[in-house]
Amino acid sequence: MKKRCIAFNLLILFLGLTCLSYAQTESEDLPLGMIFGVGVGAEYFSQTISWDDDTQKSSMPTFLITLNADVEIIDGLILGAIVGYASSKFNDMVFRELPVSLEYQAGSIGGFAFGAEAQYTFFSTYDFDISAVGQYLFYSGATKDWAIPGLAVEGTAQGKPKWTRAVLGLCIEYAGFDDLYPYLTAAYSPLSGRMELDESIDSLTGNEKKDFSGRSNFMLGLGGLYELTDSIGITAEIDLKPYSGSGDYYDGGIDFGVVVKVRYEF
Amino acid sequence: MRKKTTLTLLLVSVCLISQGFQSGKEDQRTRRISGSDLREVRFGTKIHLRQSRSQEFMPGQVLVKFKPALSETEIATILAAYKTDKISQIPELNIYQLRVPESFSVEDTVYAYSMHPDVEFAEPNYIARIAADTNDPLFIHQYALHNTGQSIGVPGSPTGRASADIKAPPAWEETKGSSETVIAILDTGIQLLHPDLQAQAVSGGRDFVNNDFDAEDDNGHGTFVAGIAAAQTNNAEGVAGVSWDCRILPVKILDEDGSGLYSWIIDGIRWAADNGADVINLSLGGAGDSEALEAAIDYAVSHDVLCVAAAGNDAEPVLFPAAYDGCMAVAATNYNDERVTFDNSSGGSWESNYGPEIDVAAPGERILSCIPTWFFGPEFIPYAYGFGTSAATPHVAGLAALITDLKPWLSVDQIRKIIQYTADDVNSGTDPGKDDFLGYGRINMENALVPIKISSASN
Repeated sequence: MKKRCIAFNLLILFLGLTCLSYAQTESEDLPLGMIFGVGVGAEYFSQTISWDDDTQKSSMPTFLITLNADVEIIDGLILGAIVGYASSKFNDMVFRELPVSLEYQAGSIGGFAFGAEAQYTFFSTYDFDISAVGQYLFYSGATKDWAIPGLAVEGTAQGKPKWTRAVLGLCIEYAGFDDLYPYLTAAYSPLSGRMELDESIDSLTGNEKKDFSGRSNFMLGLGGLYELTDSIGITAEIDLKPYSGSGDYYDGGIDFGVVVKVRYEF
Repeated sequence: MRKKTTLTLLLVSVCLISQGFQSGKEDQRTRRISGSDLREVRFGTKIHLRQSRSQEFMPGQVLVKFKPALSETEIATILAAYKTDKISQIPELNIYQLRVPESFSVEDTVYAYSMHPDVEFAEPNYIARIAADTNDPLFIHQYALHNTGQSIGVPGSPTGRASADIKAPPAWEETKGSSETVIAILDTGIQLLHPDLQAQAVSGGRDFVNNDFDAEDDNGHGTFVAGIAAAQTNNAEGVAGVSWDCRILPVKILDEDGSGLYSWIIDGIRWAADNGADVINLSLGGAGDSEALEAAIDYAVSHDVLCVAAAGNDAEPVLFPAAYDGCMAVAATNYNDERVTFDNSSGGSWESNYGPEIDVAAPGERILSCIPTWFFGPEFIPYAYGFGTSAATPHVAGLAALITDLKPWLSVDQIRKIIQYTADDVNSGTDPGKDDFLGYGRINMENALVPIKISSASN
C-alpha cells in the first residue's frame, strides 16, 4: 500500500516535471494554445477525522503552503504538480493499544506535502464552463519525540503522521464578468491517514498505528478567480464539508477550509 | 539466597491480617446505616464511554480570556468578528463564556481565538463530574482508593493526606474490569456468601487444606484480602473493590490458624493457573526459600498468570514467594504515602519488609474491607480495618486484573512493568528512583489505565 502511494506520487511528479521540462526546451515551438503556469498557494482546512471504527473523533486543523506548476497540454486539459509544506494538528487522538495509554496533545507536526492536480473543461455553453477537477495530495509529517510525564522512570513517545487527500468532482464556472470568474465545485473528497506512535518507557516498549479517515467524503467549494493582469490571477475559495455523526458517540457537523492561490501564466 | 529446602516441614508465616483487625466494634455500630439513608447518598450511575482525561466539554461553548488592556468595545468587536455571542462574563478574571455558531466546531473556534493577539487563552467549556460512580456506603472510608484527607479508621484516628491514594476513581472511568478476568485469592478461603463477595466468586473454589472443592474461609484473612481486590462494587453495600467487575477464584491453602504447607501453596498456584486465573494474589509469605515454590511461580508465569505477593511485615528481608523473580513483591504505605510502621496491638511495632526484590508499594495501614459475617457476630456489619502487606497486595492484584482486562494482549512481564513504571515515587525525597523499601513507588491506577497526555511542553 505504502509503495503504491509513493509510486503514484512519483508518477504524478514525473508527469508534471516532464511537462515543465518540455515547456522549457520546446518554448520556441509551443503548440498553439499551450499555457504554462506557476504559483503559490496557501490553504487552511479543519477536517474532522475518526478512528477506532468511527467511535472516536477529533479535529485535524491543517495549514498548507504550496508551490504549484501546471501546463495546459491540450485545449481544456490542465495538469499540475504541487510541492509544499504542511502542518497538521492531531490533538485528542488517544492511543489505547500501547502498554501505557497515551493521549496526544502536542499540537501541530510539520512535514512535506506533494501531489498533483488536473482539470479538464469538457463542456462550455453561453458563459458557463463545466470541468472535471481532481487533486491528490500526500503529507508526510516529521518524526517528533515527546517525554511521557508522571512516570517513575523516563519514558518517551515518538510520533510520525501521514495522510492523503483526494478530490474528484465537477466545477461550474461563470465567465460572464470581465476579470472575475466565480465558480462552484462539488466533489468527492476522501481523506485518510495514519498516526504512528512508538512508546519507550525504560524496558517497556510498544507501537500503535492509528489509522484515521475524514468523517466527510463530500466537499462543496465556492470560489472565484480574479485576473489582476493578463498573466496574474488570484484565486480564493471556501470549502464546506458536512459530516454525519456516529451512533451514540458524537454528532455531525460541518468542516471548513479556505484556499488562496496566486498564479502566473506564460 | 535461595536455598533448597524440604517442602513438607515448612510452614508459612502468614502475614495475619486477623491480628491487625481493629477491635472497633463501636465503630461498627457507628457505621450501621439504614437502607433509606443509602439511597439518599446514592450517586447517579451513568454508562460512560471510555474517555480520555479531557474530551468532555459543552458543545457550542468556549471560554476566552482577553488581555486586560482591552476595552468592552474592543472585545465586542472581536466577538462580532468571530460570530460568537457572550453568554456570561466573569469580570474579576476577564473571562468570557461564549456561544459558538453552529457552523463552527468548538475546537476550531478555540484555535481561532488562540491565534488572536489580544487573547490570553481560549479553551472549551469542559465538563467535570463526580469521578467515583460508586454507591458503596463505606467507600468514603477507603482512603487507599480515594484519599480526601478523611479520618482514617475508628473515631479518634488520624486523618490522611489528600491524594495519598492509588487514584482509583479516575481509573474506573477507563475500566471497571469484567467477569472475563479472574483473580485467584490463595489464602484462607473466602466467605462465599458474604454480601459483598457472593456475586464475585467464580465457583466454590478449591480447598487444598481439607482437599475438597469448598474454599470456605475459617479464618477471615482471605475474605478480607478478596474484598480489597474485587468486592462487589456499586451495589449499595459495604466497600468498593479495586476491580469492580472482575471475578474471584477462591483457593484455600492456609488453615484456620493462617498457616499452610508450601506443598498446599504449590498445589494452589498450579491449580489456579490451570483453572482460569489471570492474576494470583498471595497475601502470605514464608522465610524458607524453596525451589519447588519458585517452580510453581514460574509455572504460573509460563501460563500468562501474574503472581503478586506480600513482602511481609517484619522489618526483614522480603519473604517467599514475593522474593522470587517471577513474582511481584509488594510493600506497604500508609495514608500519608509513607512506608508503613505497623502498630501492633501487643505493643510491638512492625514494618514493611525490604530488599531489592520489592517491586511496588500500596496502602497497607488501616485498610477497610470485608470480614466474614461470623467474625464479630451477627450484630455487626461484616467489615473491619486491617493492616499489613497482606492488605497492600490485593490493591496491586486488582490493578493487574484491570490492566489484563483492558489490554488482554499484554504479557505478564508487560503488565508488571506497567504497574512498576506508572507508580508514584512517593519517597523520592529520601530514596529517589527504585529503592529497597517501596520499589518504584506507590501504585497509581490513573497513570496505569487512563491515557497520559503528551504535550508540546514535554518535548
